[in-house]
Amino acid sequence: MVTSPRFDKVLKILNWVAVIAVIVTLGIIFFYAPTERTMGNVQRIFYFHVGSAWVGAVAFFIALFGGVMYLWKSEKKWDTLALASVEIGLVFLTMATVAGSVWGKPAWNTWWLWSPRLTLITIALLTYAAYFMLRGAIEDDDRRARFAAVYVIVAFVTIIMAYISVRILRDIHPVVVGGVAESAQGAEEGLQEFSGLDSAKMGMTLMASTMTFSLLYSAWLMNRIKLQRLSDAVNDLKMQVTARLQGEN
Amino acid sequence: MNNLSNNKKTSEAREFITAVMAVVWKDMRIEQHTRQTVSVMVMFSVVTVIMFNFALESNLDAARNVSTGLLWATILLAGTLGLNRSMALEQENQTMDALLIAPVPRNAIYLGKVISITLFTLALEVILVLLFMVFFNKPMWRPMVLLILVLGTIGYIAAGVIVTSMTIQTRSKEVLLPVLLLPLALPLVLPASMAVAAYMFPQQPVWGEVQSAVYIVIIYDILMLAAGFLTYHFVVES
Amino acid sequence: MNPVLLTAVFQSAADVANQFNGYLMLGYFVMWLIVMAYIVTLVVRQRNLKQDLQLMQQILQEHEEESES
Repeated sequence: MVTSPRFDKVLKILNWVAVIAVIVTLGIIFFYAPTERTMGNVQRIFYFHVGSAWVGAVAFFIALFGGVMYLWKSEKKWDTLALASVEIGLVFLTMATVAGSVWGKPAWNTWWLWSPRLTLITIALLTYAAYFMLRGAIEDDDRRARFAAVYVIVAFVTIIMAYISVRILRDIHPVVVGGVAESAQGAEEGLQEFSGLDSAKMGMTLMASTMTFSLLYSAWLMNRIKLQRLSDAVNDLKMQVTARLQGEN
Repeated sequence: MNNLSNNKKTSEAREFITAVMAVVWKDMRIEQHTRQTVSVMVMFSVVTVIMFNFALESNLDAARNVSTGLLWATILLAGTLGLNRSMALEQENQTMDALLIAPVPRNAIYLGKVISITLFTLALEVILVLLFMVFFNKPMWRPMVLLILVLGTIGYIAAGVIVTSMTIQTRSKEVLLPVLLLPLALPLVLPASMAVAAYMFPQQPVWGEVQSAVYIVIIYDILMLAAGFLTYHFVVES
Repeated sequence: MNPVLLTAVFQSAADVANQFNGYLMLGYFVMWLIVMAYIVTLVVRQRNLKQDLQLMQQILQEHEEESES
């Protein structure tokens, strides 16, 4: 009733495929990928870290697309797409950040660091978390969707600018003294070290991880959309019930 | 035929500018009579600067080092006050409704509000710069610093008007604005702060050192103004 | 080559590779937690909504039966 039988069928298949993909990829990460030279096994975090970060970024792009489409067409499905995508993107981004932090501790001896890239991540997390605060504060359905869409577009400008800043501001001499700058340097170099991959096997593992996260995203997206449709149906019925009960009085 | 359509475009453009100016002028007149917005911002800022000063008293060197960050933080916070006040006034007095009913193009309203609130905030910043120079002994009067302040303020208010117009229509109103706006402002404030900080030393930086930061601020301004220009219509329609 | 030396070389290589395994476990564990936490919220929310849906449908049905009778 809320979702068509075909939708449910695809959803079920996707769920299973995602689970299998995760298990297979974990196998690939731990048994197929070679051990990294300098850091050893802990580098394997890298595969999930990059996979989730990349798909998270894509999720936010899709949310932006949903927002723009909603402003254009005013069809609820676009708002639902944006909402679901932001939520899942936020989960992936959190995963990536935490994984990165745990990897950073052995790599650069610090859990956190205000490098341009990590500052960008923080901004993104705050911005998209605020998206839900905005949604929560509006009662009217259409207005909520409209404002959410405008906010996603404005947030996107922020993210683009933050991303450009990361690229450009590395050239500016940091106005810091001593230890912080050094570990910042190390962090930046560390980030570059691993963008050059040691072997083809690492590249393949990374691709497998990215594909798995894409599948996970798709599965979660369909689940979340179904959830939203359920929620809408319940709200509809609640209004009907209230109307009937008031009609009695 | 070509002349006719050209004339139409010119007159449309002229009407647009007139509308923008009308909004700005209205805000100036209101402010002149009520003095609500700027005075609130100034009071808040003075209290904040004094508070920062007390908090950092034990370590004056640290205070001087973080002064540019504090300057921007104060501008951001005071800015939310100004934005809230200015947009709330529109709502209270129903001047916004009047503007919407009259055939004023929505983005003209947007630009008008951005200009007027930017002017209020810049007035505040004049006082802030003086205060900071007195309390933190940093040479903030340097022309490049002032330029960066102006550019940064424009971008901040450009984002601020969009977001504030949304938040005053919500249940939480004023409370929600900082939560939404401050993260959005970070990619603007961070390079701006770095650039200003570069000028705080006796040895002035070469343009090449700060140009990337300044360019980022300018690009942010342009993109944010464009975003507001294109989407404001969706924010104020009921 | 001297076999004792060889074993020493191999040993230290394995040690280097495994020195941060604690962090490796921690990292994957935390990611796993986040994944499970999200899936749990999805499942719980879905269950609650389905219950609400049933309840609403029930109320409406009872209401219709009442007004018919």
